[in-house]
Amino acid sequence: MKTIQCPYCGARFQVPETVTIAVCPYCGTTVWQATGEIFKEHYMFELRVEFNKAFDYVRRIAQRQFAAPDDIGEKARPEAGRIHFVPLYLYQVKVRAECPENPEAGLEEEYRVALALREPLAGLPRSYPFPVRGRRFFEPATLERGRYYQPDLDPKELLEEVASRARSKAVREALNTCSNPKLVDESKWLGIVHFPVWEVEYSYQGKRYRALVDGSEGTVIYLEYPIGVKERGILLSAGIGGIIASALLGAGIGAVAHSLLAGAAGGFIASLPGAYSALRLGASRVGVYKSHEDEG
Amino acid sequence: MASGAARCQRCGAPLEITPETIVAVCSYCGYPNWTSQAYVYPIELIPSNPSKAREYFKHYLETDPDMRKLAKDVQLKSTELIYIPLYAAGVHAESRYYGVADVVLTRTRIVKRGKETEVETETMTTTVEVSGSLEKDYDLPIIARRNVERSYTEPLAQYYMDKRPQSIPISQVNWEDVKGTVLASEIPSNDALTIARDEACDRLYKEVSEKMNDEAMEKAMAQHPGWMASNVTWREKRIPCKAANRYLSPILLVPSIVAIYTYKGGLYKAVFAGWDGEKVYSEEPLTPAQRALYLTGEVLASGILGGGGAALAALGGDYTGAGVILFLAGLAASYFLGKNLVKDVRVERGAGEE
Repeated sequence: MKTIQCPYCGARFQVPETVTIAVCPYCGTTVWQATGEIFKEHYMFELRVEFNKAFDYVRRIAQRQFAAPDDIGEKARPEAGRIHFVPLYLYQVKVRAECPENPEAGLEEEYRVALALREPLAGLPRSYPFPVRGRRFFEPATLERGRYYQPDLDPKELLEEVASRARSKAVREALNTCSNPKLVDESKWLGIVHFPVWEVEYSYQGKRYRALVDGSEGTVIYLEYPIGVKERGILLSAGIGGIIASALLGAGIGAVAHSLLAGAAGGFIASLPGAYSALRLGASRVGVYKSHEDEG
Repeated sequence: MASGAARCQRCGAPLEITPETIVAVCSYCGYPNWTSQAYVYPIELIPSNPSKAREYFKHYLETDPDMRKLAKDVQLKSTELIYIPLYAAGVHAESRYYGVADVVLTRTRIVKRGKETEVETETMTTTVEVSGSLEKDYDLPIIARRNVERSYTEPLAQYYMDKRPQSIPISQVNWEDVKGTVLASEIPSNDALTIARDEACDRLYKEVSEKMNDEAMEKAMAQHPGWMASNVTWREKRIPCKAANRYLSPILLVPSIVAIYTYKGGLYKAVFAGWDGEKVYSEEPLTPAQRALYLTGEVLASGILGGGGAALAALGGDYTGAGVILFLAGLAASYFLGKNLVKDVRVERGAGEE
């Protein structure tokens, strides 16, 4: 632990050695430790969804899953709820690739967010978009109800990652105008945003499942759910039935062209990617729903 | 930290200000305190009547062909009015393009050899030069929020651009009547101008690329009558883009009505344009009949395209290429339909045709 002094209110407080960004627990000022610089942009999203509501969303999103048992809405029981205040870095990407005849030959400008945690909550995508509503100035007092995470990834390293993709895109664009464009990168790190995530545990017929809910908007971000017995049957028979029917249809069409075997094999193989989703879900013990997929 | 500092400019009473505040009406003396943003750049608002939300939802249930069948099990849980800030930006973009391409040409002939007729395919490659220019005026919506959920804000913004309903300057807005959440702009007008130029050039680039491909094929076919162009590879390609801003609207607060409803216990969402009730985004339940349709489609795609393609390819000779293409199309269609079969909802984005 080391002691630092808040440049805004003068209070002294202790933070772990590893922390690069400290938040003063008295006035909420956010300080970049290496330089003592104060952040203007530290926002948070307000917790607008109480636990009962968060659980209700979980139950109802589970209910709409095809493979979940019909009675999951009635029989799911809330077991535990924890609030996590998760930090995201906000970046402004601003890259120009200049050519003599056009200084904007390649241009990239956008805002990006990135999860500022080395080990994020399981199920939370790295580039989760901000909620639409509930933006507030950061106030440490409101965090008492949940677990607060200090960002522990180096913001400059992440900026490099975010900006490098934009640089190569700008250069690629500029190469349409001239052969050796000059690169100007004005991308910057704008600040931190904390947003609340409910981690909800619920049980169905004695087994426990986990879900994450955006505490500001109520969006169910991640959900594990049981696969129903009847639904498992439907999925497996749809998968296998689809494969058999496709092979038979392929054989029939193949027979017309005097190559029954090739037709059957073609129908069989082409049906596999289609049957994959149903068979995989039917063979799983737990289904997983995600509201956002991370970009590959 | 800045929240404690704000005070009413007339009476000095403390004001509650968040980063979303555009105008804070003092609860002691009623004086409207504008935040700095409103001074710097004009803001206009498209009026919306949230009491019509139920009517919009009912209309959607009654007229949407898929929802009509489900309507009896649908229950509206909540509606909420949210104003999304956006700029409407006009950009003029132009490109003088130039390129050199190799175009693959094929020719199919039916040849009679004695009693047998055979199909013969010939292939050749020719090099063509393409040049010209393309100018376009774009009207683009720039959502003035940083990294916000785009699933429904984007189709809403596009629908706004198509309709351009009347807006009123924010100084004439009676804030007592605005019963909704107003989101403040987070993107300054200068950045909006740059984003608009970037977006316009991205769009022009795509259009020019397609145009150049078409022109290369046409040119190659004109040089070799009777041949069909099948593939273009570029040896050299230049698509410089010059973009100039034509106009930038005030910040427009565009109303959206977010409706949350349940169907047989499951939770779904539909979003309407706040000025005329047009549906711009919806998550709709998938019925067993629709899933059965996906399964049938999957079987037909794999059986006919996959099986037929493989059978055709097995014939050998000139049929191999066409057979392989059919087979691959079958694989792709089967994967896509199979994935839809197990999805929880069907998402519809954008306003319907009228």
